[in-house]
Amino acid sequence: MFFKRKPAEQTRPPEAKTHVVYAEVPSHDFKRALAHFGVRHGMWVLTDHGVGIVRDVDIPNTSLVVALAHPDGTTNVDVVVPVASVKQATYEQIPVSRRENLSREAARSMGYL
Amino acid sequence: MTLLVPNAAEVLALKAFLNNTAGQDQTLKLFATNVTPAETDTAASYTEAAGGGYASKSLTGASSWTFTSGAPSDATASQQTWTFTGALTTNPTVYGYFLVQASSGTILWAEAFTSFTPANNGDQILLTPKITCD
Repeated sequence: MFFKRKPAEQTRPPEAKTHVVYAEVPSHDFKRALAHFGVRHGMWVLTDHGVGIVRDVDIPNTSLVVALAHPDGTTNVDVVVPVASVKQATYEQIPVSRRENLSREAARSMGYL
Repeated sequence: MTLLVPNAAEVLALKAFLNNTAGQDQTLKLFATNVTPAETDTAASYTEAAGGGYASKSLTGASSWTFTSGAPSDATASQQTWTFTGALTTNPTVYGYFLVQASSGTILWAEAFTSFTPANNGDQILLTPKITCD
C-alpha cells in the first residue's frame, strides 16, 4: 500500500528591505525662520512640556517643533510649541549625557547660563 | 530631518578655512540610539551601530566628494550602501548617521532620519551624504 507523500512546505527567506536616505540640508526658509524667531537649529530649550531640542519650524503658525529629551539624553516625542513660550535652557537643564564634553565656559558662550 | 553641524564642527570648519588646522578624511557611521542632534553634541553623544554585518564607511576628501558651486554650493558623496546580515547587536534600530574626522574622531555633522530596523540578511540602508554652504 502506498501513501502519497505530502509535498514539503517551502519556506522562503524573509524579503530583504531597503531604506533609502538622502541627506536633508537646511533650506533658506528654514534658516531665515530660525533667525527671525531668534533660535538655532539644535538649540536646547525649555518648554512647558520639558527640556528639548529645536528640530524644525512651523513658519505659518510661528511655532517650533521641539524634540523632548529624556534624562538620559534620548528623544522620542516631538511637540509643537509657540515660539513665545520657549526659552533657552540652562546648562544644568541639558541632560548630563549630552553635555559631558561641554565645559560651562563653552556652554555660556552659547547662551546656556 | 535636517542635518546639524554642532558647534565643535563649526570651529573645525573655520580652522580649515583659514589654514589653522588641516582637514581630514572622514568616517561615516550609523547611530543606534534615538537621539535628536543638538548643537552641543560631540561624537560621544552617539552610539554607533554594531553587529549584523555593520561597518562604518571611509570617505576621503580627495575622491569621495563632488563639489558644486551654486546657491547654495554643495559637496555630495556617492551613495553609500550598508548591507546587513541580520539584526544589530546594539540597539536594534538605526536612527540616523554621523560623520567624524577619520583621525581625530571629532564630529562634523549628524542627521536623524526615519528609523530603520535591519532584521534580515540582505536588508540595506542606502545613504547619499550631502552638505551645503551658502
